[in-house]
Amino acid sequence: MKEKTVMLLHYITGLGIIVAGGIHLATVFLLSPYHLSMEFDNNPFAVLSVYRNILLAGTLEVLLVLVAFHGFNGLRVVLQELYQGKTYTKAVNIIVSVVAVALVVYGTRTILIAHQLGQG
Amino acid sequence: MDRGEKGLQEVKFKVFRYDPDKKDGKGFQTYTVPVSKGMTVLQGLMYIKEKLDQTLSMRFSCRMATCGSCGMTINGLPRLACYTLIQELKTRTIVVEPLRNFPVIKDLATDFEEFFSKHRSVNPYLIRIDTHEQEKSNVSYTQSDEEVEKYLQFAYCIKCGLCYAACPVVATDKQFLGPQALAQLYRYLADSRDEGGEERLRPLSDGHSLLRCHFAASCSQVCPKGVDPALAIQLLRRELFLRG
Repeated sequence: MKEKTVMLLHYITGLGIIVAGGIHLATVFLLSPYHLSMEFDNNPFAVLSVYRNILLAGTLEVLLVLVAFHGFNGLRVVLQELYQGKTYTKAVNIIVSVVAVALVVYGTRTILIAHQLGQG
Repeated sequence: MDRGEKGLQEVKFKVFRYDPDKKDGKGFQTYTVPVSKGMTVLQGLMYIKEKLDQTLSMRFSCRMATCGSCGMTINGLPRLACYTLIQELKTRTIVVEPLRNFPVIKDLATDFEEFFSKHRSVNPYLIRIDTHEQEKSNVSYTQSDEEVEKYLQFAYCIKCGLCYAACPVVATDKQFLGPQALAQLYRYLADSRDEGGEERLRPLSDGHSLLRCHFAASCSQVCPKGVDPALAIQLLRRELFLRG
């Protein structure tokens, strides 16, 4: 992917985090049984019930992808500023991409499991 | 400021010294300089060179903020020595160092080779499709006031290197073109007489030329001519995303 495209996506994901984060918080407070998560001691599954709402679980997944891209691209930029070199740049690009994808996969798996457990 | 023997105010100049030929030739040396009203830091340094220490090396020429030769770090900020009044600094000790982000040749004189090579790399001249017309032209290229306004402030750059010295990205990423070269690139891109267009933007898509700017805007803060390189970089970024 061209650096120009990556940086354009960087700005778009930055804005996306604000929008998706806002929707996510609004969902938590308005739609899902938020108060249940505060009663975790009485009901071990209560906290999971917030994941039952598909909108909440969905925005959480979108947030995960946006934050992973934006955050790891930011880290990539910082690392590329610390040192310059063809091999180093290539290594940083590959390592950061692999870690970001791994994080998204693991996070998606966690959200899916929580969504299924929340069902009940 | 203290009063000297003749009743003149005195300030201490703590000047960075570096001699590449000496093993321990790096450090600060302090001089006491009598100060009169309206005296600039450059005049203070010239007093040192004439009366106290002739081995002091520095670069200067016009003494009126036009040539851009006497850029140096004065009390921590990149400034033109000829354009900085001693009184405006309001300190008893003035610390003078070479410009940051430039290799030091000797004392306060720095090497501008890399800076100028980055400047040259953006083709800082009008590009016309008809090169013959450009070289042998007998017609004038007229511009409206609005067209001139688009690039005029960026044409005031005197290549003093203060913005380059203040840039935190240049400090870490040596491949970054720097605010001066990027502002000049925009100056020609925004010029209605220029036909460089996409050709000018093409080299900017890599990871180090333009996109590394973090918009610290320290370049615009230190420019002695009121040029706003940070603005040029943002406008250039917009052009790159829309046209490049």
